[in-house]
Amino acid sequence: MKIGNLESPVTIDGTQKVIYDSGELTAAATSITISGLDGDVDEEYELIVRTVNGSGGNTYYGVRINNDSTANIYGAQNLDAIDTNASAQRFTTTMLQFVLNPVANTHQALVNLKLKAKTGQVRTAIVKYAQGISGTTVTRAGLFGYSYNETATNITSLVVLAVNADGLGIGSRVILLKKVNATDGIKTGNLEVQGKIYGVWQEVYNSTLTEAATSVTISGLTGNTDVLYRVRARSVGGYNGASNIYIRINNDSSSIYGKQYLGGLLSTVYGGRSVIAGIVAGINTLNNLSLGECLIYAKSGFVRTAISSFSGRINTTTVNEIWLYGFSYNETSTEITSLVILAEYENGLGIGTNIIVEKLNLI
Amino acid sequence: MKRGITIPKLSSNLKADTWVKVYEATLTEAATSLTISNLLGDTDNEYKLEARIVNGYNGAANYRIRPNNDSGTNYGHQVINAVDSAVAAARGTATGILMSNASTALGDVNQDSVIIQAKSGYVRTVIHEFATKVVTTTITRLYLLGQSWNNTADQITSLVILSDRANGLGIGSRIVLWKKVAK
Repeated sequence: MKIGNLESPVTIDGTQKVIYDSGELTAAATSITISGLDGDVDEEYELIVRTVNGSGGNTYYGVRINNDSTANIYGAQNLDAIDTNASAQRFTTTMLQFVLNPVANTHQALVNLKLKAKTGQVRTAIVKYAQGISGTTVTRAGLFGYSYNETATNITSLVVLAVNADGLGIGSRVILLKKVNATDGIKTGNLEVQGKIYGVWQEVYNSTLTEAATSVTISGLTGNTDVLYRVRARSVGGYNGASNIYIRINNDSSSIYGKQYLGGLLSTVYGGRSVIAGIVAGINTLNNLSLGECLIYAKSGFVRTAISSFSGRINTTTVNEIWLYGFSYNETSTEITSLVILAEYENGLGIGTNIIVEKLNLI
Repeated sequence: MKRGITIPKLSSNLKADTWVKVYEATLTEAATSLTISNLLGDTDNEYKLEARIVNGYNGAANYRIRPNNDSGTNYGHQVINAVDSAVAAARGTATGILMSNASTALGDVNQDSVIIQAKSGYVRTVIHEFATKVVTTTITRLYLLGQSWNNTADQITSLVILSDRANGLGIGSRIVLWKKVAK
C-alpha cells in the first residue's frame, strides 16, 4: 500500500517517534515536566535538549526521573574536555545532570540522552553534550554515563530543569522520543510512505559516490522548519594524505565555527578548542575509512549548535582515532538551506563514500 | 491546512526511509549468546543497536558483537575512556566488536549504544558509546569507541551478541536492533 504524508496523530509499530516537543520556549522557565509516561512499557527514551541560559547568571541542567530529587540517588561518570584539558570525574548528585556547572548567562548547550527506563534494574543513561556555547566558543564537550539508583518505581514523568530560576531561557527546547509498540490498529502489510511521517527521523538524502569528489551538496533543506538534522558520513579516503571531512552550513566557508574536542589516538588523549571553517565530521587518508554522526540544531534565531562523533583513518583492524566534538556555527539569522560535505583536499571523498542526512519531522 | 491522512494507529511493515525496529528481546532466562538472524546488511546498509546487559555470571564477564558469528581476530578498536578521574586511550584488536567490558559481578548493569555501517564492499565501521559495570550510583567505566570489522566481502546476515562467560547475558538483558528501510 502506498500513501502520501502521515500527519499527527499516527502510531506505527516498530518506529521511534516524538512524544513530546516543547517547541522553542517563548518565555523562560525553570523546569519542563513531561508527564503521562509509562517507562515499563516504553522501556527506552531518547531526549534531545537545546538550552539557552536565561537565568541572568551561571546555571546548569539535568533531568529528574519522577521528579526524584533524593540526595545522591543519581550516579555519574563523566569524560570531557575543556580546551586542552581532557578529564574525568565520578560523582553522585540529585538529578541526571547532563550539563556541568557552569553555563554562563545566554550561553547554550546541546544534549543527546538515551535512557533505559524499565524497572527491575538500576536505570542507566548515556549522554553526549556540548555546553557553554556562545559565538565561536564551545566551552566543553563530553560524555556521561549515568545511573538512577531506584529499581522499583515506574517512570511516569521526566522533569527537565535548570538549577537556577529561568535557566531554560527563551529558545530552549526539549524533545522526547520513544519506541512505538502498536499492538492494535490497522494492519496494512507493506506500507510505502511517499511523503513525510510526523514525529520520526526520516532521510532527506542518501547517496554513495561512484566517483571521487571533493564535496557533496545537500540542497533544498528548510532548516527553520526541520529544526534538527542528523548527518552520518562513512567516507572512503580519496586523497593520499590525512584529510578532514567537514560539514559547511549553506556552504559558509568563514571561520565562524567554534569547536571543542575530546579524542583518543593510540594511547594519547587529546582536548582542544579553536575556530575553524566547518564542522568536522570525519578524517581520512587514501583508501581508509571514517564513520561519523553529527546532530545539528539547525533553526535560526540563535547560534547553531552541533555534536559530532567520529572514528577515523580505519584500515582493516586498525582504527586510528576516535573523536567527540561540540560545535557552534556563529550565524544566527540565515535559514539553513544546504549542507555541504567537504573534504579538506581534492577528491578526498573517495568512491564508496556514503552520506546520509536525516531530519526529525516535528510538524 | 494539514494534508495527508490521519490514522489513529497502524501496524505495518513500513518503507519510508526511516528507522524500523527489526529485533527486540528482553531475556527471561540467562543466556551465553543471542543471535539476530535473517538480516540483509547489504540492503539495510546500517544498523543501530541499543543494549542494556545485566551480568548473569557470578564474576567478570565481557561482551562482544560478532557479525555472522565471525570469531576471528578480525576486529579493531580505538577507545577513549574514563574510570573515576582517570582518562585513557588505547588501540587494539579483538575477536568481536567490543561491548561493555568491566562487569565483574552478578547483576552489574551495562548500557551500549552502537551504530554499525553494515554494507559490504569495505571494512565495516562502528561508532559506539558504553557505560559499564553500573551498580547503584557507580558507573565504573565510560567509553567512546571507533571500531572495525575487517571483512569486506560477506553480507551481514546475523549479529551474535555474546558473553565470554556462560550465562553472562543475565535475566533482564535487553537488545533492540534498528535498521533503515528505504521507500
